[in-house]
Amino acid sequence: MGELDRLAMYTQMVRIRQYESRIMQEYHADKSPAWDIGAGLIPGEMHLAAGQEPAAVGVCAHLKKGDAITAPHRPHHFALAHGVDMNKMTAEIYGRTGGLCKGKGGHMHLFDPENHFSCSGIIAQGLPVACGQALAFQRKGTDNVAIAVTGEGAANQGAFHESLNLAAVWDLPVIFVIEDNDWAISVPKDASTAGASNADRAAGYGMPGVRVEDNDVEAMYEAAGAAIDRARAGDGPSLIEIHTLRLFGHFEGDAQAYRPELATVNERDPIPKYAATLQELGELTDDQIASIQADADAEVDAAIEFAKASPEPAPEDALLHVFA
Amino acid sequence: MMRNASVGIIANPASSRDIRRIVARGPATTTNDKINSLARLMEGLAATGVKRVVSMSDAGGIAQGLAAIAQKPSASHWPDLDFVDQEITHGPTDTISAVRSMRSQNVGAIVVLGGDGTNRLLLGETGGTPVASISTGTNNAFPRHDEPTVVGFAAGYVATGAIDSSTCTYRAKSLGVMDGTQVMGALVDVAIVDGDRIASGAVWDARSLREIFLCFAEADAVGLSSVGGHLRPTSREEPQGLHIRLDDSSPVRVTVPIAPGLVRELGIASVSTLEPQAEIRIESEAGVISVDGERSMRFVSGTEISVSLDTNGPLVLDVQRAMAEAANTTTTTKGEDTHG
Amino acid sequence: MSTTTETRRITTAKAMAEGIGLEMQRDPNVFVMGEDVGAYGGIFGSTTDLFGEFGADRVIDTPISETGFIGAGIGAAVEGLRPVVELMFVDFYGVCMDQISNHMAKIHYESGGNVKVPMVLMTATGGGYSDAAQHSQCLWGTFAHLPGMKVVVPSNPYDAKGLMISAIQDDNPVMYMFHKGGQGLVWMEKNPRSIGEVPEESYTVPIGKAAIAKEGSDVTIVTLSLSVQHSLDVAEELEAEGISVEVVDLRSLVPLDKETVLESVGKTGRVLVVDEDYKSFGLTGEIAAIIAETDPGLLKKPFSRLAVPDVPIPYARPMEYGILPTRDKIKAAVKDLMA
Repeated sequence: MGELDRLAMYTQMVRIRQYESRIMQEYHADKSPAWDIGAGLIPGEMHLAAGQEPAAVGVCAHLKKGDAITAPHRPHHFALAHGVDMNKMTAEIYGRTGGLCKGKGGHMHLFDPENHFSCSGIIAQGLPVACGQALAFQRKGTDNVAIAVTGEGAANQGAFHESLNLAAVWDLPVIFVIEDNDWAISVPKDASTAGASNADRAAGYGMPGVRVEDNDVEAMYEAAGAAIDRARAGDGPSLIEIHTLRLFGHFEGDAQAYRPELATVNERDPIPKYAATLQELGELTDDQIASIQADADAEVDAAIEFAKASPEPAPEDALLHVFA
Repeated sequence: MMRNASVGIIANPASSRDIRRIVARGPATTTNDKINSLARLMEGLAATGVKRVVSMSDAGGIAQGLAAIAQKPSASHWPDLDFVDQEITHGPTDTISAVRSMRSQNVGAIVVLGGDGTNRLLLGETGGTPVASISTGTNNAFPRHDEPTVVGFAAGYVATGAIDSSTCTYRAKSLGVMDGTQVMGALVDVAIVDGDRIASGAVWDARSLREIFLCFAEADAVGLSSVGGHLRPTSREEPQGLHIRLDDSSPVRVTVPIAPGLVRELGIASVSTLEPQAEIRIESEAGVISVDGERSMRFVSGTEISVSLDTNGPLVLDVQRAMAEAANTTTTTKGEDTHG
Repeated sequence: MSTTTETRRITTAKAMAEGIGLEMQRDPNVFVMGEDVGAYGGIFGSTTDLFGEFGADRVIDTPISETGFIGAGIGAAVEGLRPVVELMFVDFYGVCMDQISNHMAKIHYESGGNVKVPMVLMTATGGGYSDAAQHSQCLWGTFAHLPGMKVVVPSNPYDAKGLMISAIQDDNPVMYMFHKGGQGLVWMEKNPRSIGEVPEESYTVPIGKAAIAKEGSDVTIVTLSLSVQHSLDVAEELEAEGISVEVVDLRSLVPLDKETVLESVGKTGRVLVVDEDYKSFGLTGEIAAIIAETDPGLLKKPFSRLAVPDVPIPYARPMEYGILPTRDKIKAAVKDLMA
């Protein structure tokens, strides 16, 4: 495990939050007054990860060149924390030719082979792919690891259980990261899941399972570091479930009428909490808070400008890239 | 026999899922294991005539799981099961508010399902109510490994008055951490650890240990108290504790399990007896204080921190003594003689 | 393709395995995984002897966990390996279709061409041995319908080997769909054309190029897989009756060699499409559409097709053979076209 860099983790969380907040603004900006999900500069479903920054930042702080991530339909925080180019990612979300996937993927299908980053919009189905990436690392004799990210709702899918079993049977260098944000769209965990903790489910496969409470970035950092060290050393897979927070709706446009704790959600925001911790430790000044925020604002604004300046694809481009 | 005897249940949904599972193959007590332990406890309580059980509520699925079993026909003979009406914060205050509610409802005993960390939360809260523990945490020095069904019998005998609790309880020791006033307590150990990270809580990096204070140190202990157990075994019921200073360059070495599966060699600078009420000043400039194996509080240079041993911990129900006492005082007149 | 004087005759199954083995020798990134592909050698012989040659490290028995191991194949392919994965029966597609359709077949497109998935998914198809509705389907039309994967369907040992080598060398995901009845297995009905001459050395058969399995001038049979063998049997019989049948073996559904089909139909003016897959919304209708889109005037007689009549494959022999495209039915259909 490397040295804990608190300022870097805080900065990364702020950067992600600024990104998600601005994408939310941009997404809604030209969809009013008659809201239409397919309209506007950013069309389609939009699943934002504000509040879930500790999950991505705590894990990605340990990753190195060649390590892979498969993210689910809510992928931006892991993409940014893993070093995916913000400009190209934003252009992809805007459906432009300068995007990561030339406008073919969109926000749920971000592919960055240089960083071994991919997503799948199908619940839990990215996990088997991550196992395959881990299998490739194992076969090539590298010490790279694959991070398989999914939500707690996905843990009721067969693909989740097949992946845990395969990873355990083959001792794959894969770390399953479960983001438990309490809600599978509108269904609470206790109505959907037998056995409250997915860390427990790991035990059924002979795999260490850890649950990180309180959306705590440093606890996530430490658990992920231990799991990643273990995988790199050839000791096999682990599972980390973090109790995190979906600050926004399942997707943009979700009124969240089903969510009784909605009024108090902002009180659980992990970023101000972490800022307070760092200030208490004397590792973060007010000036730094302001400059980190200003840098994030500028970077995100530039990425949005980049995206908007990138040309739209031509209709006939749809026929390209079916086959290599 | 007390009519309407009742017993409280505290169950920690978060116990046994910490980082030690990764670094040392720490034990995994699943939520379903915990629910089943409580179901077995209920059988013991039912057998002794307990009429009502008050359980803590939680969002981790334990209360929900126990309630689901209680609804089944096979549980129709159980005591009535009520849950504390409490706001769930996912934090330690859930446990504390549940205990307060139980005491206001005059429960005759409290059963705690959890490890050292869970039991610690009860410090100063249980007063004269006997406390029995069922071990489910990752690292358990305080709770004994008793079968929940038998714990149910023991707690039930005490709560119903079938046996006199004075015959089978003792007052546990505790440790207080003070920076002028007491800020934290511990039931087993207080440790001073290098660095400024609380992070995942559990103490698992032996190199970071500087000082350990122990309420008791059994020779067969696991966790930080094993350091004392290997050097100078100290019982739960004698008034003194231990204070150990560590120094990696010391020629005095012990090899101990600082967590299940995590065996480390430590250098010992000194071992001294900790007398009750003696305040020991911590020498470290800055660091993190762990209580019962959990990193809990940072302190910075210039903070005056001291630790002292107290003999006013929870009233612990010794299950073995309770069952022995019950064998002497309770008789069964109904049923067949199986020795025919 | 190299020429050879070798007259060695082997089964389709052995030819497939030989193709895989040659690629494994050539390229260390090639490995095999699937259920019972190891010591057993594949339930339908597709990995015969590979375990002995390459060991458990490169011929990997998987759990019964198709979503898991097909997904793992995809992940390994994305990272640059070349897995050959077996789905034991194509009928099991229901438990893993998300990996096949939403991942294996779409990742290249979704990534704007940035991520390749060089993977072979081989799978056993077909009925004729009373394995009933869940173990007898062909389903190649289903896979060919979904964009993003090549689909090859060999009919004989020579093509089986050459197409396998091409499939492994292809940078795209390839569904390699072999017919159980065409494998030359000792425990199945003996179709003599399932044993044939196969050179020992490596060679490729191009994906997307149909073969004229037999030249003829009166009627074109467009078909694939085991039905090619049946059609050739029928064509030989009809030759004696003075009917000259041309048999087009499609060999690949994706890409589909339309030119060869149209050229043959243009020559004969009569076409029968024989398909062991379900009739509606499938290959037979697709060929009809291609002819109609190109030039309906190519046909002297109305388009004719023979396929499974939109019922699940039944168990009892009289019923199963009642719905399969047997030699008798093919013969009758050709005669109808000539009437």
